[in-house]
Amino acid sequence: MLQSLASFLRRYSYPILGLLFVLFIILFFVAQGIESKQHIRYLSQITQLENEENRYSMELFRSRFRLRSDYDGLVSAERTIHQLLSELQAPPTYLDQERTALLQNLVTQLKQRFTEKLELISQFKSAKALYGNSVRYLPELHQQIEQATLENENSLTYAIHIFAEDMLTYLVTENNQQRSELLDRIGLYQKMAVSGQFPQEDAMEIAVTLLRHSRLILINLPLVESLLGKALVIEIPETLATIRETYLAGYKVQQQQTELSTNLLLLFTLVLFFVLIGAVINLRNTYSALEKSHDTLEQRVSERTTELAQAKEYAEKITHSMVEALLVTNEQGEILSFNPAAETLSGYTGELLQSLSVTQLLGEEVLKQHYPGGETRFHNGSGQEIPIEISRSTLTDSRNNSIGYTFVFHDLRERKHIEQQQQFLAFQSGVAEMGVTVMHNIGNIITGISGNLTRIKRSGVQLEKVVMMFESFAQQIRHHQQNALPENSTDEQTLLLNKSEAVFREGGKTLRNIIQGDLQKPLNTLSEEVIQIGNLLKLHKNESHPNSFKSTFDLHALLVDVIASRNQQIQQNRIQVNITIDDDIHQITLPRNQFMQMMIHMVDNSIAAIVLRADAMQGEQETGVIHFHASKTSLSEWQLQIEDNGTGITEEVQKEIFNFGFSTQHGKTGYGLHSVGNFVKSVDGEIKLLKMEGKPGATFSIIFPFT
Amino acid sequence: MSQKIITGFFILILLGISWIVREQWLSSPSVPAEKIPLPQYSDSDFYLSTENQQTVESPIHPIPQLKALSAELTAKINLGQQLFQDVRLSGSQKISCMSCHILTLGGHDPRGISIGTNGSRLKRNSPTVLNAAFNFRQFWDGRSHNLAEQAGQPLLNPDEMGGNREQIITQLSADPAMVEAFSIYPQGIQLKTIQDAISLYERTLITPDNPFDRYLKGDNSAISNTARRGYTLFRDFGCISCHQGRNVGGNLFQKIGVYAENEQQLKLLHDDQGRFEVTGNPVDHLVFKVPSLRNVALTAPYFHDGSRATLEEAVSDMGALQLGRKLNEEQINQLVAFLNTLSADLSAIH
Repeated sequence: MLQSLASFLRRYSYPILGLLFVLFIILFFVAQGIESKQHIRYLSQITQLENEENRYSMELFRSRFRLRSDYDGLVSAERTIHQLLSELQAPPTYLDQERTALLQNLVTQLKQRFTEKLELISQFKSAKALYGNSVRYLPELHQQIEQATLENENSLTYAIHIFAEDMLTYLVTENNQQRSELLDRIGLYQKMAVSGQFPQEDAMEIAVTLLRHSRLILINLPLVESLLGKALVIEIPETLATIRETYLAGYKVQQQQTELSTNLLLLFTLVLFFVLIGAVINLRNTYSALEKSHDTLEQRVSERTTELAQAKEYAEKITHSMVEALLVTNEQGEILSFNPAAETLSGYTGELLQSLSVTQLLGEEVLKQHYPGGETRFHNGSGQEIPIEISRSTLTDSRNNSIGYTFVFHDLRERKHIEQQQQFLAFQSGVAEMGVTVMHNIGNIITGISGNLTRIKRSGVQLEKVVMMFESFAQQIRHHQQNALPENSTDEQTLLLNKSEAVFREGGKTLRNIIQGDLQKPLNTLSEEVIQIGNLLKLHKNESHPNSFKSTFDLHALLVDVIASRNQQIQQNRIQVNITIDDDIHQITLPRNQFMQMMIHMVDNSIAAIVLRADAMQGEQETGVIHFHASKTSLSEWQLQIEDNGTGITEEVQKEIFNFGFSTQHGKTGYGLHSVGNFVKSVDGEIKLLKMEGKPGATFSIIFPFT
Repeated sequence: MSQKIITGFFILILLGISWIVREQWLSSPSVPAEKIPLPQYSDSDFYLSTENQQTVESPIHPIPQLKALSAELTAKINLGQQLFQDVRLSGSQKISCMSCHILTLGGHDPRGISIGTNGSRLKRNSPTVLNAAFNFRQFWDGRSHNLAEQAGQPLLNPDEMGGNREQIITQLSADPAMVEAFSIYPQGIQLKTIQDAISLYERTLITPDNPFDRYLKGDNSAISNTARRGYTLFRDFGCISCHQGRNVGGNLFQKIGVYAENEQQLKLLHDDQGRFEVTGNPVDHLVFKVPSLRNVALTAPYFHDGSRATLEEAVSDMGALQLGRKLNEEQINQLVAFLNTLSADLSAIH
């Protein structure tokens, strides 16, 4: 709310200031104008009333001294005075209540006085009309009565004629004494006239009329004077003067009261004016500064634009030259831009690629929140499955809000190929090594066989002796039979029988010996050794396939197989082999053959180290021990430790043991540990040589992920 | 930023001060619309000046011509004209101002004594409304100082129009045309605006075009010799002492029967004390406003009670009662001839 007000004021501050300034000026003059207008009007009303009052009085005087007069002037003045009085009844609004009431009171008084005056004047008008008419008629009546006097000599007629002349004199002198006397005479003459003292009817009529008119003159003339006098002394001008003074005093007080606010307003108007001027100057300065900064900005913008263009070009070059495919998407995965490598790799060209979603290309999981990246496969435009490695990073705006993603992925086909080659190489090498081992083992067995055969041969010599013994004995018997005398025959037969008993006893004894010892045992051994060769060949035949597919197998059984393959050496060197496997990792999933080869390498190395140490110790021989220990280290990994108490590996050698062609043993290819390293790496595992302080021998730890 | 806020506050403070100043200077005590005083119009708002038009020296002056009126005044006058004819102003909804002031005949009531809304016969003759604007007071006894004041009285008088203030206002307010017409008054439909409109209309009911005024302006052929002789008598006998000015009367009070020896000589129809009934002042006994003699020939019967049927009779009685003269037939005829020249062609009056 406040903020929007502030921004409104900020945006419209100059128009507002201008408007206020104009408003103030208008207000100032309007306020002044209103006051002056009211003041002038009220004062002029008072003056006008004074003038009208004067005019009224002048009209009165004029009508007083004219016989025939109209009262139009009086009427119009009356009307104006009435109107002015009702207007004066509402004094200017800036007066305080007290003074307003006072003025209204005064005007009411004035109104009453004026009404009083009008009343007197209206009586004056009627009296004057009657008086005027009679005055005008009097000379005519005087003439008529004079004529009547001449025609009829009558004392009363004459007296009335004299009275008429006295009346005319009175009209000139207006003598009050004469007036009362004249009035008395009228009374007298009227009585006389009524009593029938006139000789003629017409004379009496004239006399009566004359007396009536004279009476009206005598009554109305002073009445006209007194009414006019009374009307003129009514204090209208004085009251008007009081009204004027009262009003002006009120106006002065009011002016003093408003003087401060007038000055204040003037001051504020001036302040506002200067503020406005300041604002305009400020505006001008701001504008020129703005212009200057605008020019600078323009220049900078053009520089930045060039830089930006260069940077863009550079960035484009980089992205264009990238071997890796680059896709930029919005949050929904719609492809916004890409580099040529992306086109090449995806098999889609320009527009088609742009119309695709990254999920269509690389799968749904790439937009998942915690997509870790890594190796995967996708089908390119021509339907070919391509192994790739993806890494994703989030694009953010200046407020660190996610606005999309960049995907970088590259073709793993070449690497896979090389890896396969390497694996094959390693396999071949393993096979070669295995061949050597197999030959060696078979050679050992054959040596055993030959020993046994010698013993069998020796048994054969003894057997031959037995045969020869039996053959010579058989000859003796045959000879005896051919040359035998009957007399002699019994002695000789007895001799032969004795001899045959010795021959057979001796022959049987010899044959038993041959059968029981010298012949049966080697034959048995020979038989075992032949079976062993068969087993050995069968075993290695299984391992001789370059099979890298993963399979699930029993770890313990495999280790037993490995030990069996090295049984002879183990037995020869009286090596003790221990296997401990934690319960939850009996079944593991790895490329079985390669794993087995690796284990064979490891066992061979251990045996070699133990033999080497035994040679070095010379007599004080302790039993060689190889210990396999498999355990689970985390939810995703397990560890295989191979521990021996052989010669161990010196520090300088440690760095090189996994290098190709390195061997501490003469006549070895040095491929063993290298291929072990390769294999471990290929299954995302890790091999380490652990240092076991105070213990002889070497301990290898191989970490495998659960797949 | 903070500078702008300060500027904003400065502006607000200035606005506040300007408001206070405005309140002090420009505010007037809030007057409700109905209490706003009605504008007053002077004769100069209505009539052209007659200055220098009169060539014959006389206490009688010609009636001025109407001038072109302002739009506001015209609207009010038109409204006044409608109201003058509007029967809704009477209690019976049957009579209007026009019922007793028949403009086409002479602006008076030829029945002599007017008849009120309830059929009651009134005491006095309805004087003509024509040129009433030039009378110094209204009514026979002069109890009203102006036309507006006058207009209100017959409206509410139960014996005259017998209207009811609330009823009149309610009825007129229910008429959209009236509401529209009254929109010229910020005060709206009120008795005083009704009176004002009627009075403004009445100020236009004047008869400037008449033979005697033409004579006064130098047209000797405008009146006959008889009439001219009548005018001389009118002056010489002193009729002109009371009947003078532009309205040939209507600007003073006079007692009726100055030369009457008793009231019987007046031959009046009713006991009517005249202005005494208003002022209670003994000097006002039998005092009446001197009526205008403009169009007098058209406004029979005569006197305040309509007791004189003909102009001759009225002239004769006036001579005897007011001037103490017995007029002969020739004089009466001459005077009547003169009085006829004061009549205007009423076809121009609406």
